[in-house]
Amino acid sequence: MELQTDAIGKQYGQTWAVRDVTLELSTGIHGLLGPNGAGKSTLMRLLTRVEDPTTGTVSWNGTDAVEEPSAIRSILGYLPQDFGVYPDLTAREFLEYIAALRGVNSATAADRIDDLFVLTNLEHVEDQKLHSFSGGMRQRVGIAQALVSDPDLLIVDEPTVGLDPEERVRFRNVLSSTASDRIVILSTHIVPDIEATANTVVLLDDGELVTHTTPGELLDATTGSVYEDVVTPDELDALRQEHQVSNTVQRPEGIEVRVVADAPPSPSAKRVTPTLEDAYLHRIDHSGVV
Amino acid sequence: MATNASRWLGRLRRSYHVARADILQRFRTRRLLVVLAVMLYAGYLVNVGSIELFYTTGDAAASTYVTGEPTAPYVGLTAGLTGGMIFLFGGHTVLSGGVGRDRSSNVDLLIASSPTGDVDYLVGKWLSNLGVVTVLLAGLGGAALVNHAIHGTGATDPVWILGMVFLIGFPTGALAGAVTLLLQSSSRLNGTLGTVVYFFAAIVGLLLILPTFEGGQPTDLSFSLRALDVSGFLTSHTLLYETLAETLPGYDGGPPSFGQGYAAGETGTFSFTGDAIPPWVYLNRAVLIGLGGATVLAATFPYDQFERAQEGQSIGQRLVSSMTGVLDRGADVPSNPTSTPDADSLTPVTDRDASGFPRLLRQELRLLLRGQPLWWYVGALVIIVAGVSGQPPRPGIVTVAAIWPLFVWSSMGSRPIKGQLLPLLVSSQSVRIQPLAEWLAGVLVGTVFFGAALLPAAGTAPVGEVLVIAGAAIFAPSVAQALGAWTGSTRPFELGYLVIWYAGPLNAVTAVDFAGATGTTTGTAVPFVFGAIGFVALAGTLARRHTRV
Repeated sequence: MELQTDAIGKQYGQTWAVRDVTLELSTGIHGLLGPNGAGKSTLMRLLTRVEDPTTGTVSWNGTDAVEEPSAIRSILGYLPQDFGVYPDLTAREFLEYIAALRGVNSATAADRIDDLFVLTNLEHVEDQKLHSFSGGMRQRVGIAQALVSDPDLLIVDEPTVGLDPEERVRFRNVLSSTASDRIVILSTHIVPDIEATANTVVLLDDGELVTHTTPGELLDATTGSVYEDVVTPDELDALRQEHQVSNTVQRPEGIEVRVVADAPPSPSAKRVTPTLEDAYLHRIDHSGVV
Repeated sequence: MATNASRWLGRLRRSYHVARADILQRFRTRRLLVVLAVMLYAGYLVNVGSIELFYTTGDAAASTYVTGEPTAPYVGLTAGLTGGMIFLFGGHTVLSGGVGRDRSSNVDLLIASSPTGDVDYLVGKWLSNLGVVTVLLAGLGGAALVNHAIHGTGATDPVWILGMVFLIGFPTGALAGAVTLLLQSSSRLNGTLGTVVYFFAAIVGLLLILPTFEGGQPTDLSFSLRALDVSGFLTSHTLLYETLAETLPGYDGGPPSFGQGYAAGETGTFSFTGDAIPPWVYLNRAVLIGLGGATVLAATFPYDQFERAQEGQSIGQRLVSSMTGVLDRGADVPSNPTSTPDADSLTPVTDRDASGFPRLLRQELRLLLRGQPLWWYVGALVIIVAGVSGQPPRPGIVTVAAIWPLFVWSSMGSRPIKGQLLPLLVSSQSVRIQPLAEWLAGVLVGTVFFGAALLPAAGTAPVGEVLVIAGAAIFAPSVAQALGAWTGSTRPFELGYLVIWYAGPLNAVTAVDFAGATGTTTGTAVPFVFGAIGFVALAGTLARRHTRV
């Protein structure tokens, strides 16, 4: 299995939402990271063929999906960032509808939907109409519908929004267990979700590809560039002016601050092991923006 | 502590900002431009004489009809009446959406959590409606000025033209904008039923004053009758009566009509150069605006900004829903992440090309028929049983059978857009056949209703009646789906369908009796024409889907 993009781009008016992105993705989880407006959702819409690219191509196992969109549609599971449900259908009826749209036969769909309700912890409410569902429950229905056709390519955009911490962990486990024989593209702002699951990280900024690498390589590139210190509020303001501050914690002795910088921000700062979040900030490098 | 004055100022400020945000949002969408274009075109047709406001004496076969010369007062009067009629019948379609937009965009949640009360909010929405009415009338008035300058006679008098446009159109728009808020505020009327109620209310509003024309001089009319002049027809009647009586011998005070006159009739013109407007006209128009304000206040009773989740539910459903909520909370108890089932144990899917069209059709039928209130299903059953029994007279049963499915057809085409499911549809391999399945589901519903109503008649002319059934069953859902797909709204179809239904099946105008209520279209080209319109609409739906693929 291989999903490729070649110099793919999307222009809205005079603005390029995505520009010249070339990727080669194989089996596993690929985390899509970037600041707001980086073009993550647009890239996902291009990959799912919900939108046409302005430039470039998308191909699935060598088949040009821009010319032949069915090449992607037949193997795709998709959870958009903003998706709706039909409120008068029950959760089961809704999944049956999506299964029919995705070409899954009735018997297989019925069994798989049973399994998915267990997987997403919705088995007790499967016959309730969706208008009675909470936001988190709807999000789990969204996750279930994305998996209903057992897709070879699973694209999920901010899937853990609205989930409580336990459900988030549960979803991460589900995602990890599904990725052994399919390509999963996971877009999220929650860097720990990617740190916990992704085989590779695709970093986008301002519509352009910053890097496509493994989390390990991203962390290696940041090693030696993350420091911790305890500072006063005034010192914190000064630090923010000059460096990327990735975290602050209130302590009795002051504010414990975590800084991404190429050199120690102060004589008392101690070098620490970077996290993926530190690596992300280091690579994006929007100084003063945390 | 805030004084009363500062509290009122605070409320006014909140209403102003609700109105401002709503107006900015409306002005930055193409919908308002489309509405303005339609309004200007209608005004153009009336002002240049393609459609005239004409008065008649005699019968249709040997009539005399006269229409006004395009003087500035007359152009202003007809443009005002055009605006008034558009707001009277199309007000719910043109002006609704303020409350619904906030619901769909979740802005209502922000407002519900703010100090903005129901009155402040609805007054703000009404002010926004008034702003839209003003802009539309300004466009209509400006176009009337230009039309008069080019096609008119006499001096172009902006005071008369713009004055009449706003005097007649604005109060009607103000009332329509308030009534549409009242309908949107009710969970039961915030949908197709509301459109139907509005349409009939407009019909009643017009019909109430029309009989007062017959043989009646304006001076004979009681104030209560004048107060009912929502459309502005009595204003027009009052201003034109003396001129008409001099020009049209035998004129009995009958109402004007929009149209092109009778081909067999004699034609003539009269010249209206403007008379003093009686004070009661100003009072009548002011009362309409006041009635609009009162309607907005009345709308605060059914409106509940905290009950969005229970929208459209009966009391019983709300009870069940609240109990379900308790159960949901139980189901939402955090699970143990270590007990997560392995996704590898899921039933594998080996064939993703197996669902087929019939299964998708069943799914679309379920979507179409699900979610109606109980009275709709009971009514549908009664119509079908009564139709098949052959007991009710044809015009009655066909007319009812033609209006009942409006409630399910209206969601066609726009459902995936409003439900935010388009990305899922477009990314599936059923992207091209889903509209066909939806269309066929709508046609099947139509076939059941029209078939049941016309079945008894099929014994006498089987082929002809089957063609009538087919034409009707294809026409209505196809147009619903196409308009829904292109506009993303249910309202254009609802309004258009109600107008055609009112003229054709209900009032027996053969040319638009798509449902065969009169029985006179059997064996004619009418069913073919409506069937053909249906297929063109289907092509439009498929073209729309093609643009999204």
